[in-house]
Amino acid sequence: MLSVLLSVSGKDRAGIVRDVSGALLNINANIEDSSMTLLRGRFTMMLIVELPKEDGLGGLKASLAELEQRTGLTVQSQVLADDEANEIPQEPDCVVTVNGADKPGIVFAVTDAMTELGVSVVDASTRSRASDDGDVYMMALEIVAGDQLKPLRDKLAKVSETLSVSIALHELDDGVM
Amino acid sequence: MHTVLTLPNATLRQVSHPIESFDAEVILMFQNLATAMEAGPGGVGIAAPQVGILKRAVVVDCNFSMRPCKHHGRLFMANPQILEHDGEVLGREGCLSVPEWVGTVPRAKHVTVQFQNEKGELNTINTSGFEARVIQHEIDHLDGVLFIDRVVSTQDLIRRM
Repeated sequence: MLSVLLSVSGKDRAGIVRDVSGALLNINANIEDSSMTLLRGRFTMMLIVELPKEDGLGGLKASLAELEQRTGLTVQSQVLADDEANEIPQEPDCVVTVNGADKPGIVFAVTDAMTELGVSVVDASTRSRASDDGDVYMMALEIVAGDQLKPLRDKLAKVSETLSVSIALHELDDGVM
Repeated sequence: MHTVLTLPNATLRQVSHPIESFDAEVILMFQNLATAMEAGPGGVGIAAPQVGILKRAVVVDCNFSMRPCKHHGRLFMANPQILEHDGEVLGREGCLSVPEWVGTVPRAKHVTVQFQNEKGELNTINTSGFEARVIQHEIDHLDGVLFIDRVVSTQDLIRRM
């Protein structure tokens, strides 16, 4: 099988997921893992699709070009290497939440502290929201901290002080129940 | 030996009945539940409906937790009820009945739980953290609720801030 990463976005309206999945169904491409969300007025989709190797990319490219033309969506595709396509994503062991007055550099400072310790982000969402006292910035990150929990806690405490934002680190207990 | 039911088995979605009489059969059921729990990798708890028995019985044993935690040892809990709960913590849960899936689930940090043991004697315990999470997860099974009904994403976490 051929694994392809598609990124799709367009002005939000009813029917985007239907249109994209319909175009993929026409060429027998199967949607495997995906993440789709509405960011402001733009609907965004990241999908990993699988299609039979013997069909090649020709049919997919043609179908996506037709989809773009017909719907006005923007579509990009990228073939994944086998090792990427078959990798089982790491499970997070921590959640970090950040909130405070919006200012440039919050995402950088938080993730810079993580990168220095080799801590990897597996999922992130951010949102800026208007409030009476100015914009509030909120971020939630799922991370793989491993044995770096203690130094990460110290580093994030410094970031929190420097940027005057609240940062909470929630260690995730895990178990099969 | 019991087989653990997995999704989409409809029994997992049913509400279990209270245990009213305590006899040798009840003791045997708890022992069998414990055996089924131990058979699964890393199992720290199991509820009777997971093996197809619609009775309000759970076994919790955090001795088997991958990370050491404070706990009450092996608990045989009949008709468990959360009397009080407090605080909220996030954790990563998996379930013998939902293989291959894990998700982030918010649960009360502290709970006070009343239950009867395998002989029908009434007990009340206060517990926190991981053991409290496992108990809440297992009691959910008695009401046909699975952890996948409670999973939150990073987007949900932001909405809750």
